[in-house]
Amino acid sequence: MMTWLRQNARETIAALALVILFAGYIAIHPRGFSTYVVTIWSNQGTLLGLAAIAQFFVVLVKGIDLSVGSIIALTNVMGSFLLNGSPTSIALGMVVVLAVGVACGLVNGIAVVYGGVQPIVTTLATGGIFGGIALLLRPTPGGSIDETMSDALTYAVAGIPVSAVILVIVLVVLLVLLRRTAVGLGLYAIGSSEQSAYMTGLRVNRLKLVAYGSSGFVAALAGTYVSMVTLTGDPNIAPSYTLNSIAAVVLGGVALSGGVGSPIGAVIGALILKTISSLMFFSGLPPLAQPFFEGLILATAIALGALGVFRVRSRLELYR
Amino acid sequence: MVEAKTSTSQNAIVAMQRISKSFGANRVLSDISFEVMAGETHALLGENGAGKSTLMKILMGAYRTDEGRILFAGEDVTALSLRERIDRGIAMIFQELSVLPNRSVAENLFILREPLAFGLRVDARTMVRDAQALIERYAFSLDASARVGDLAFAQRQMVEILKAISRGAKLLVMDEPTSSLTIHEEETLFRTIGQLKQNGIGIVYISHRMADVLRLSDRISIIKDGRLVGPLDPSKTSIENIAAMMSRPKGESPLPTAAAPAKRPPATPVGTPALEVRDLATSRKLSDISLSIDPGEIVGLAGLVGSGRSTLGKALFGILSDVSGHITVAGEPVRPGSVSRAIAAGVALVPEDRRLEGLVGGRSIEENLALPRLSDFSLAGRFGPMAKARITALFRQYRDDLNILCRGPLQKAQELSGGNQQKIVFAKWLAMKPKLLILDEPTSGVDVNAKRDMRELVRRTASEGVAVLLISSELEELLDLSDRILVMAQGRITRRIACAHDETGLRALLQAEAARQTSARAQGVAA
Repeated sequence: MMTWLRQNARETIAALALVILFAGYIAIHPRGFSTYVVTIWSNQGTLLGLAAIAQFFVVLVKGIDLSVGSIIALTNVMGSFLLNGSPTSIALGMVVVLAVGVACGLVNGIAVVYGGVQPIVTTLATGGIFGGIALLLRPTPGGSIDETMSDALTYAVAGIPVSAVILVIVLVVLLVLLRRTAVGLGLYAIGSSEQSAYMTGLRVNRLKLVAYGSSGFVAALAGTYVSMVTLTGDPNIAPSYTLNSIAAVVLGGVALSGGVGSPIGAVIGALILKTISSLMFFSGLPPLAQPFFEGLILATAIALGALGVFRVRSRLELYR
Repeated sequence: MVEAKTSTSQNAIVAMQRISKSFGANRVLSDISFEVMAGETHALLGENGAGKSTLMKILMGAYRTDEGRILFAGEDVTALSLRERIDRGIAMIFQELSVLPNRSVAENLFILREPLAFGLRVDARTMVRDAQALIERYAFSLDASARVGDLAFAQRQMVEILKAISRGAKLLVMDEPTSSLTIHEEETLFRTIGQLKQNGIGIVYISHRMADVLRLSDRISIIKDGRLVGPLDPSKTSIENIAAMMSRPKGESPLPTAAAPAKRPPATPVGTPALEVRDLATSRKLSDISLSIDPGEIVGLAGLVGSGRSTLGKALFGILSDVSGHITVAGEPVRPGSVSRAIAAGVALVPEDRRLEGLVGGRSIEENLALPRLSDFSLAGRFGPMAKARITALFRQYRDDLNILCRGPLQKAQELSGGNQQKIVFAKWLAMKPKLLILDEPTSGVDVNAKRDMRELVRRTASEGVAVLLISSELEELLDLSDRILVMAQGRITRRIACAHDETGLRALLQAEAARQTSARAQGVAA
């Protein structure tokens, strides 16, 4: 148990922080601990949690994805066209939306892997493109989503929010994939040391494509879930998801230098961010002051993540 | 700070007196005295790990000496920091140059102390003029306004040297300065060194190439097992002489012998060789490489730094993309240029830089062991779950087999000592049942006991029918392990010798080969 805690120290600390914040949130909320409050919290948290997982996959292989928000916006907008009508057309729509997400991720991956462009530049550009397509498709928020499906996915069953169940299922599947499969171990290996991984015969390029593709897939899940929660397609949501997803992975103990961290950490980071912003909403802080404090929290999170700097053995390692 | 003026040596720029240094229980330098005069080139020779770089780090102030003191221009600098010593005029020219490629020569020379016009704006014209004056003073062939990135390596080296001198360096330490130079550029460097000497600058010249050292230096000192031999007068010595001084007497192994090393029956050629290479070449470094290794045979690859030994290892392992020629592993042709193809054919490489290339340091030991063949542990395809128990079993087997000291299968690989890390790299390839094992400096940076274990392991691996290509700068090790030795110089295999040679003979031979190839090339350039 102790070794487990030590090995997962970052996640453990983040989880403790989340519990404290959540208790504070419940205490401050006018309606207290109720299915309604928890469900709203869980739905919001799931949105950001999925975005953070999408970001995690790219960060795991030493990248950073500035297009996560745009992929979410694009798939959300596509969902507002496709996720209605007969069950068959909804199912088909779902497949298309997820395929678009994977395609977006692969575009990023191909540019990074075969084009040799830095991830930050690639995703800045593709983010503009994906977001631009979303804007062309739906210049103003609108569209319609099948309400029965939305209700089924955003309410609670027996006091447990469906969104929480979805998030847990996604996490369990991903954890097994990452910890217990050849592909997962390969991803961690190339994130930790790309040269060694290559010299050991791992197919580094293909594995990176898997990471970017998975990122796109999870971003599409997030976009779909935005459709379910908001019942519209909104092309303007991209920036906040991108920024918050990066902050969430950092808060959750995922190293921006690659190879360290887990999707659980990313989700915990996302939930912390969500709880803090909800706390601010109910604490009577003027709404105009909120972006300032959110920025402050992000800066603190990133600074804490950079504390690893003090643990390097050789200063030169910092400049690699 | 105590300032002690001494008169031990007239004109000595630097005098290191009775220096000793230990790391833990390991004594790396004992009672070394080393001097450089103004305008003198004092060469420092020694095998890898003999203590040259430790001595230089003590000189620079990166390490503190345990005993003795260091005088610089007559002043005791033993207690000063690296920064303060640089300010006083000790400079080191590294193999990795610290010039800024996207700036001009002048900007590089005057970085952080650019001449200012009106105390604000950088006065570019004055800067270029001053730079050109400096270049002319030392008669270097450089253009002050050229972009450094466009220059040849030797000229970048000049910029680095000028930068140090213009900041007041009186002593330059050059560590293997010829290692990245072409033949033509070497001549330029030697002229540069001549100019520096005329200007009264002292030089410590570290090199493996004895022919260069004999030609260039005024005095030669050798570090062997942490002790200094010399200084010698180059006009009164020879390569053979120096080689003998650097070698240990025959039969005297530096390694503790726990049990008598298992005598291996010499490999008997059986049908197909494990490795056969014909006409292998790369666009820049290697040419005309042909060799063959039988299963169970250990072939040593000897040569000086820069002779192309590691490059050959990398070419065989598929790392280099510009390899031409034919590689056949156990009768099956392997198209060069892909690591995964090489591994699939049964080639394994234990790289020299194990921390960067051999291990995934941040991951667990058992993961590192399983990494080369992850899909073998998968229960269902690439995305299927892994048989965790089988990976742990693999770990147990090799921990016991290779005597790996660790806390458990989940310990991070980077937390292990050098020797144990090397065993992990070894084990991960042994688990692949390779046909050819390439070892690049397998015992560098590991302690003596780990060295003994590694040698035993290499012998055992070969006796199980694996062909071994051993690259090592430790000649004693090469002679101890190899069935026969190939000598490389300037990217070619120039000699094939049976293992009858003693260390001195082999050392002298390597130097002679390097010198012969160098002069052959130089004539080729001139013609």
